[in-house]
Amino acid sequence: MANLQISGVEKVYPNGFKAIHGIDLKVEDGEFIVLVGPSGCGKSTLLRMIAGLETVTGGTIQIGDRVVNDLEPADRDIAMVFQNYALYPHMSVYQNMSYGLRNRGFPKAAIEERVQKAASILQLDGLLDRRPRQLSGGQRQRVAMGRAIVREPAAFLFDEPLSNLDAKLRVQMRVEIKQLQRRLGTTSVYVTHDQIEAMTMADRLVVMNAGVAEQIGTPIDLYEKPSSVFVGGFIGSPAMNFMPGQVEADGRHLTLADGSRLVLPADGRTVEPGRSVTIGVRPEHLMPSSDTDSALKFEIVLVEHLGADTLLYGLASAVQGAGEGGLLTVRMSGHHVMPAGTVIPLVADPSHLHLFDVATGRRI
Amino acid sequence: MIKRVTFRHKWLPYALLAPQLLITLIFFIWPASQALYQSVLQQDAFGLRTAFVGLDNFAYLFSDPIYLESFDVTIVFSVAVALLSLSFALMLAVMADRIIKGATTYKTLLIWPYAVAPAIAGVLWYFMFNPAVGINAWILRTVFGYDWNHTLNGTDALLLIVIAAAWKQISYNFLFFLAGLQAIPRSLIEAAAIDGASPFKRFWTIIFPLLSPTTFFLVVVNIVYAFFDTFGTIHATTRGGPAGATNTLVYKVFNDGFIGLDLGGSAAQSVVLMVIVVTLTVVQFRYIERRVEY
Ligand SMILES: Nc1ncnc2c1ncn2[C@@H]1O[C@H](COP(=O)(O)OP(=O)(O)O)[C@@H](O)[C@H]1O
Ligand SMILES: [Mg+2]
Repeated sequence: MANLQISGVEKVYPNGFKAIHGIDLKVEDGEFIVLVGPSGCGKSTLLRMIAGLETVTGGTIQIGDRVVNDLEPADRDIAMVFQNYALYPHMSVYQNMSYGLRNRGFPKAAIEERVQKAASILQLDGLLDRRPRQLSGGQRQRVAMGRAIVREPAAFLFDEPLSNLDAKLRVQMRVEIKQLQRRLGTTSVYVTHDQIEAMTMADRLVVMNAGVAEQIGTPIDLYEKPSSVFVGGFIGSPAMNFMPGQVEADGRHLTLADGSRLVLPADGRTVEPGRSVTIGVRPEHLMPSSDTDSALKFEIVLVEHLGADTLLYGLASAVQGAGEGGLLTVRMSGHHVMPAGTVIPLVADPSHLHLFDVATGRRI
Repeated sequence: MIKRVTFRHKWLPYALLAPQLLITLIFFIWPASQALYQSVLQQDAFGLRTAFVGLDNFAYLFSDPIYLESFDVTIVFSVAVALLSLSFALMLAVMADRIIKGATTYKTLLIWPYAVAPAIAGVLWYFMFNPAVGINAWILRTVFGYDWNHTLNGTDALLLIVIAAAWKQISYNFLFFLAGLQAIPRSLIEAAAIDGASPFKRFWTIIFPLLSPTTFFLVVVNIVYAFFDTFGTIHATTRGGPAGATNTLVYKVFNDGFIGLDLGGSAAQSVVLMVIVVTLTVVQFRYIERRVEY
C-alpha cells in the first residue's frame, strides 16, 4: 500500500519528440486514478514511466517514500496489466501467475497459497493447467489480473486492459476490476481512451491532452465544471455543444450568432460586457421553449429513441455563425415523437451554461 | 483460407507448371531413379559387364568399416556445424535486435557471407588457417602455443571444415532468428521485467522457449545443409583427408563413384542419403504443422 507522487514529470523521446510536458499528480493510498484522453496524448507514456519501462527525462516519480526514477521495473513494487495481456504463451495459467513470485524466490508453499487464493477470487480455479491460448478473452484478462494481484504490489498499473474485449464483457470486467480494487484497496492508475470507462471507474480522473494534464478531479467535478473546451467536449456523451456568443451590455445576457439570446448564469460570476466567449451547453441542458422570439432555432435532422431518453440531432444557425448552421444535440428525458424537419425553439438552462475564453479555451 | 483459382482453359495450368515439372524430372527424378537402378547393379573392373546383385551393394556398405566411420564423421560434423552456426547466429541476432542506430548496416553486413560460394568459403578459411602463411594458425602458434596443421592432423582438418561451413550458414540462421525475435511482443519482455526476471533469466525462460519453433526449423535446415551442401567446402580444402577424417557421406559418394569408379556402391550410398533427407523433411513438415502450439 502506498501513495504515488508525480512532480513535474516530462518525457522527451530519443527522437526529440516531447510526449509529456510536465505533469503533477498526487495519488492517495488506495485511490483509483484514471488517465483519460484521446489516442496519442501521452497516457501510456506516463504510465510506462511510472512502471519503469520508459526513462523519466524530467521531474520525479515517488512511490511510497522512495523516488523511483532510477529503479528497475522489478524494484518499484508495482504490477502492470497490459492491453494485449502479455501472458507468457508457453506457460500454464499457474506458471503465468507464479512467475513473478518464483523470480523473487518465494517458497513453494507460499506461492501455491497465493496463486490458489488469487485463482479463487478471479474464478480461475479449474483453469490453472491451461495454456493462455485455451482461454477466452475474459479469462485471459483475469489471468493478467491474477498475475498482478499475487504479487500484492504497492500499486497496480493498467494500460487499456479492456479494449480487446467485446462491449458486453467490457462492462462486466469494468465492474469486476473496480470491485477487486475496492476489496484489495491497492493504489491504481488506469489508462483508457474511453470516457465512459473513465467516468464509471475513477475516484479521480486526469484528462490529458497533447502531453498536458488539462484537468484533474472527480468525475462529477469534471462533468459539471470542465476547465476547458477540451475537457467539456471530451467528457460526457453525447458531447457538449459549443457555440460562439457575445456578452450583452447589461452583463446578464448572451447574444448568439443567429441573433437569439441566452440568459447568463446568475451565480455571481461577472463577465465583462461586450466580450466574445465560447458557450458550452450539454445536450440535456437545452430544452424546447414557448418563447419563439429570442429562442435558438433548431431544425431536427435525426431522432434517436433510447427509451429513457430521446436524442435530437439538428442544425442551428447559432452554432457555426450565419449560413446553414452547425450540428447541435439535444437530449430530452422520456419518449418524444418528432418528425425530422420540425423547427423548434430552444432555450438553455442558465445554471448549466459554461463560458470559455475564445482564444485560450479556458473556463471563464 | 485457401483461394481457388479457376482457369478458362483446361490445359493452361498444366502448361504453366510444365517448365518446373520438366526441371524436376530431368535434374531430380531421373538421376534419383538412375541411382536407385544403379544401386542394385555391379560393374566389373573394366566396365564391360554389368550384373544384377540385389541388395548386395547395401549389405557391403553397412559391413564396410570405412563407410561406418564416414557416418560417424558426418554426424559429428553436422552436429558441430549446426551447434556452432546456430549459437553464433542467435548471439548476433539478440545483439542486432537491441541495436537501434545503424541496424540496417549491421544486418546487411551480417548477411554477406551467405552470398559466398561454399568452395570460396572453404578456401578463405583454408588460407587463414594455413600452417605456413595463415594468420589464424600464426595466432594459435604464437599466442596459444598450438601447432595447427590441418593437412596432417585429422581433428584440425575436421575443425577447419566445421568452421568454414558454419561461418557460411550463420547469415541464414541470423535472419531467421532476428525475424523470430522481432515477432515476440515487446510487452512479454516488459511483463517479465516487471515480474523480476533478470535479462539472463528473461532470455532463457521467455525468449528462448518462444523461439523454439524457429530453432527447430533451423536445426533441421542446418543438418541438411551440413549433410548435403558442404561438398564444395570439403573438396576445395581437405578432400576428405587426412586419412578420411573429413570424409563425409556426400564427399564419399563422389570419391567412390568418380575417383574409385565403384558406381554400384556409390549409387547405394546416394540412396541411403536420399532416405536420410526424406526422413528429415518428413520430420520437419510434421512439426511445422503443429508449430503454432507451444
Ligand atoms: N518510442 C517512441 N518514440 C517517439 N515517440 C513516441 C514513442 N512512443 C510514443 N511516442 C509518441 O508519444 C505520443 C504519446 O504516445 P502514447 O503515450 O503511446 O499515447 P497514448 O497512450 O495516449 O495513446 C504519441 O504522439 C506517440 O507517437
Ligand atoms: Mg496507449
